[in-house]
Amino acid sequence: MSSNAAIAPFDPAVDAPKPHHPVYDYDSGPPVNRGKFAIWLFLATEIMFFTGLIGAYIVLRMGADTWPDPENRLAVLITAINTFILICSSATMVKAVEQAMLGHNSELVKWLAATVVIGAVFVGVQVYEYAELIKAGNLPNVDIFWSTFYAMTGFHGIHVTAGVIWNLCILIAAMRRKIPQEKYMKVELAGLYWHFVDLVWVLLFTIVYLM
Amino acid sequence: MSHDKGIGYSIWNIFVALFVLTGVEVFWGYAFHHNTGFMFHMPVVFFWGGLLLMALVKGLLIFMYFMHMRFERWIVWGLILPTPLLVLIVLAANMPDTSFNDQRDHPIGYLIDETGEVVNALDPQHPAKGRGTPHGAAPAEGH
Repeated sequence: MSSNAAIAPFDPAVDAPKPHHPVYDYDSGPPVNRGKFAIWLFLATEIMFFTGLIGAYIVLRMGADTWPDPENRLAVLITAINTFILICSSATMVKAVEQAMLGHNSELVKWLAATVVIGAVFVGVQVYEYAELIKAGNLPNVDIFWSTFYAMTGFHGIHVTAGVIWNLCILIAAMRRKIPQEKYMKVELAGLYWHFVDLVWVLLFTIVYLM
Repeated sequence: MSHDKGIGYSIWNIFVALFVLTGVEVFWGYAFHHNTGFMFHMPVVFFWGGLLLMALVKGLLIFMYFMHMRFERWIVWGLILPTPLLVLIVLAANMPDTSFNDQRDHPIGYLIDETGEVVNALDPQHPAKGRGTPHGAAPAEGH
């Protein structure tokens, strides 16, 4: 066996690892903020997710001999008010993004807090609606109307709840002054998701509650 | 979009438009279901078309303004534009199931109960239209 003296000392000119990735003097990424690129890709998959649910609903409804009038089974007026509540939360979210862009932290906190509270009210009204329906025996396994109703509104409700939690995290960060003007994109990304769930609800409300 | 000048449009105009359209939608639905006034003899296609049109306009307002798409660069449009095409393909792929449902042995929207009968999934205690009588009951008069 050779002794330790036979091992050549480390020579950077010979032993240093070769760079595996070339370094360019330009940005080789997409010409848009990476976060925005990612959130739009994510939202595209979310659109397809809800398209699957709505597509199944269309097939089931059009294939049925008859379909109950939603007004006889659901609280349309309360849900219309709830729709308005969600639209209000989208408006407050736009104001929050605007204030983040302008670097007005106190205003950002105010509008984000309003968005979180209004979003939570929407979820609360939906939970109340579910509780009343279940109390009346309208479980998802009763018939195909309730199956599709709970599937579509339930998955949307989960998305809204996730949005409220996301907005709450951003709010806490803003309260700790962790979102300066140059990091406004954190608020904008949460806003894009929040507006998306608003947009989906606008369509679901029409399809499930009014048609 | 212009980051140093805020969001670049009046949010309240969009907000009012969404609010008004939601109100009109609810009225539209109420008037149809209660046979109110001018909608007394309105065909259901007209009713559904109106509702869908208003929902699409609301969705577009949210998409273009609240989600800033009106101010975005081509790359973001390029990310999202294939999606409506895929949505149309998914919905079109469902059309045979919808259109030929009444010709299927086991139609969508029906259940096979424990006795093997095809029953209406909306009302399992009653027979599916034109598909015999569940539970061995005699056909209803005029059915």
